[in-house]
Amino acid sequence: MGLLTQQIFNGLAVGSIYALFAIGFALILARMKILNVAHGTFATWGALSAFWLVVQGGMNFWVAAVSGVAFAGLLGVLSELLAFGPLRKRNAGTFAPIIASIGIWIVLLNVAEGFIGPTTRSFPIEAVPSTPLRIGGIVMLPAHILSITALILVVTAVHLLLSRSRFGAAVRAVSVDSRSAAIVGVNPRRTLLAVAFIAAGVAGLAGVLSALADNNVSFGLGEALLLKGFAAVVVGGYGDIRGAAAVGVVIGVLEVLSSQYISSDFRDAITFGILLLVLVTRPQGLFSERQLVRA
Amino acid sequence: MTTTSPGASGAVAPAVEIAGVTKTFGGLTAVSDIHIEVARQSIYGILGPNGAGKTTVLNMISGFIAPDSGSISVFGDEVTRMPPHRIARHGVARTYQNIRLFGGMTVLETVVAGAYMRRSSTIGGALLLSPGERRERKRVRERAQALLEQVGVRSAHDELAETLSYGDQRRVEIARALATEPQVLLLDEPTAGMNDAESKEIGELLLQLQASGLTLILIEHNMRLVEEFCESVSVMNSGVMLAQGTPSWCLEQDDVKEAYFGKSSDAARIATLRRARRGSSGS
Amino acid sequence: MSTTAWIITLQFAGVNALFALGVYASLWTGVLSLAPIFFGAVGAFTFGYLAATLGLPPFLGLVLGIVIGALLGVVTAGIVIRLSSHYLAMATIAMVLIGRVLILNLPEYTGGAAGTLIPGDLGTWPWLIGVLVIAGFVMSRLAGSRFGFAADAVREDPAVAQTLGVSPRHIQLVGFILSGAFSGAAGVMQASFLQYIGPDTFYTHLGFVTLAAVVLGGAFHWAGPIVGAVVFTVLPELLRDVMGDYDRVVTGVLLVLIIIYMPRGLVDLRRFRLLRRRSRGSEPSGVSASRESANQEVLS
Repeated sequence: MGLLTQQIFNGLAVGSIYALFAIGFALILARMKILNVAHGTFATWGALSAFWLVVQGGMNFWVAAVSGVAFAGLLGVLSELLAFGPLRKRNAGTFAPIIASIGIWIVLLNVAEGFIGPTTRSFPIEAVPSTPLRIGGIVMLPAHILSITALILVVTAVHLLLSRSRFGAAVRAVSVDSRSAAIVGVNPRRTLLAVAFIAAGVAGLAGVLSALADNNVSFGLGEALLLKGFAAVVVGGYGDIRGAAAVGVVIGVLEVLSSQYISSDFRDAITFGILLLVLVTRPQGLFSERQLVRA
Repeated sequence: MTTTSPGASGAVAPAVEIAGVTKTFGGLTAVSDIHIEVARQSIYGILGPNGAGKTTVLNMISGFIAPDSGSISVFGDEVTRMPPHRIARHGVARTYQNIRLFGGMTVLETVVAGAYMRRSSTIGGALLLSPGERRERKRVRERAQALLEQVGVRSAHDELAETLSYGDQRRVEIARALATEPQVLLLDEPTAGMNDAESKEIGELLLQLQASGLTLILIEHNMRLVEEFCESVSVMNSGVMLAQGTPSWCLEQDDVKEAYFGKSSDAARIATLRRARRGSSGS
Repeated sequence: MSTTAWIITLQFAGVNALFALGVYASLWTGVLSLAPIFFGAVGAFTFGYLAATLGLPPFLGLVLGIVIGALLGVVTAGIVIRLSSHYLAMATIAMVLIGRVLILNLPEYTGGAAGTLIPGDLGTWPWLIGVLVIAGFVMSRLAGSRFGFAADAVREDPAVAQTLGVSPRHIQLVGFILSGAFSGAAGVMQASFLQYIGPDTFYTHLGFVTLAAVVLGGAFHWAGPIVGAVVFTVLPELLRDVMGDYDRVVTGVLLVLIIIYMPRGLVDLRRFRLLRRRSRGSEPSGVSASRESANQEVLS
């Protein structure tokens, strides 16, 4: 019983990171209509930059983590400015942004590999919070507590921002019809840049937390998140970030439990099996409402 | 095909019959309990101000939109809720208000693409260099050229269709629709953007097509054209049928006049709407 | 680069061209699909297993790859064709992910994480050129055929295509079958050149790079994917001498630039036709041209 609760907690923590990643991925998909293959590299660069600041700059971990998140957000803004924005202006169609995101992915992934090399690295143990907490017989690593807290805060903040604020109304207006939004006084360009910053920043946060949780920094860090986040978004639907986040958490729990009780080889099979099943039976995702189709 | 005089009763089903059709989008009723009967080999007009639901009616006939209730038949066969490609196989072809040509295709290719249903060759035939497939390619090209002559496209046939003048683009669309060898041709504002002389040519083309056995249904704003070429018309406003009958009779009706000319404030509103729509349909 | 390096690079360019044709065959019908990578993987691993257990002759191995690919194309189409564009693309990406899981979890057939060795009989120039010539012939014949025009129509405007009597799903099914056949052959050829395949041989990286090659070469004519695959394979090798490890960065930047400034790729009939028109000196601005610029004003 103790093992089970422990594993469920670990699963929640792992799942929180997937969920964080999925939130940004879903935001870009729902609000900017981009299936962003490069989203994983935003997470990678969030982790890499934080790592670099701690190791080379001797910076305090917390400051470095915030800087890493900001840097990832900046990459999102740059992608919008240099690639997705120009494509939107040219009415380039549905597939063009996917292709552009592949280009961005290739660039960021390879620069990351050049930057940190092909090996995996770790944060120096004294630089990061690492003393575990024990509550009711469960060992809670700081990284795990951080991940779960971060998820709760981010989901709440982003959801409130999108559903309650003027900014959220602007985002919805722009994603439905940017021209009409511009007529009623919304600046579509600035709104989309803000969405890009938030989405990529949250990915960066997921990257930093993932690096901390596994104490493992590598150029491929974001790719693993991309696959899980992708599954979470497809299964949860991308209309409402809470759906994607919930599924992200469930995937984490399932993964940890299945590798504990079945076999670690089986881990991905479960995730992707569910993914395919949902795609085939409920292509709109489990939680999203039916969307109106325009003739 | 049996030929009948327009309005003949009884045994012969009309070319198109729309019976009690209603369609709502969200809370908005686009078309409300519409009845239209189009006699074989006639030229039928659908009139009304913008937003009247005319294009929705055409979209329902060609199967883009399924009506909420009511039925639509083509030559007596019910086609309600059939997918568009099966309705096309019942002999229905159409053109579009905001021209929809295929990007990157030449004029000739566009019309050849329209001949899909009139070709029988298979992929195997194409790969095995069968003489039949080669003859078919030649036949389809020649037929496409003939159609382009018939509709009066002036530009070279190897031009990109999307670069032609407005009028020629509309003619290419008509030729593409004709390449399906339809029995019913739906035309959504075929003379929009054309001058009087060009509109007149389209009118003549309509007569010529009618004489060759086609039934034509058109949405048109050019009243002169409607009065001269349409045998009967339906006038709609806000999804409701206002009047049906001969063009001149319909245009005399009070609610038709009001729908069209109304109060001066309405006229201004309609003009604004029209501009807005033109802006958004361009992309 | 040394001559040997050149030869190897060009061989992989040829195999990539086959994969690119697999992607193109679906794209031609308006479907963005990474399923070719999955088709290739299944073809290659089946070939490897049968070659090891039964001693399959090379030619039969190739035919096997094509048939398996085509059959998988039918099954895939049956499952995913009703999805709308983004979901369809995602479903095919999911197939690639699931493919890797299958490879890892069926070690008695695939070798699992260790991978499996493949006989190299098919990994020679004559076979490669033969397969490419046949593939090119098939595409060139289909381009002007009844199917070809229908595919163009479905990609450009599926609704209009339907009013011409074309069933988009039927056309897309055929696209998936063609895609499967090309990709199955590509998988077998790839395996034969590498002589070793593992769980990462046919994965997202290959998928994204293949897609990039198609776009670079031009997704609107069958020659585009072939040109794109060659450029996309050879260019990084050439750049490696200058750029060192950052050769791929240039390809990434190039990809973004091309999709923005040359969205129809290197082989673009439409551009050739526009240029020809200009050189002919017919009146320069049609209505559509002025409409386009009007749109840009509104948007910017």
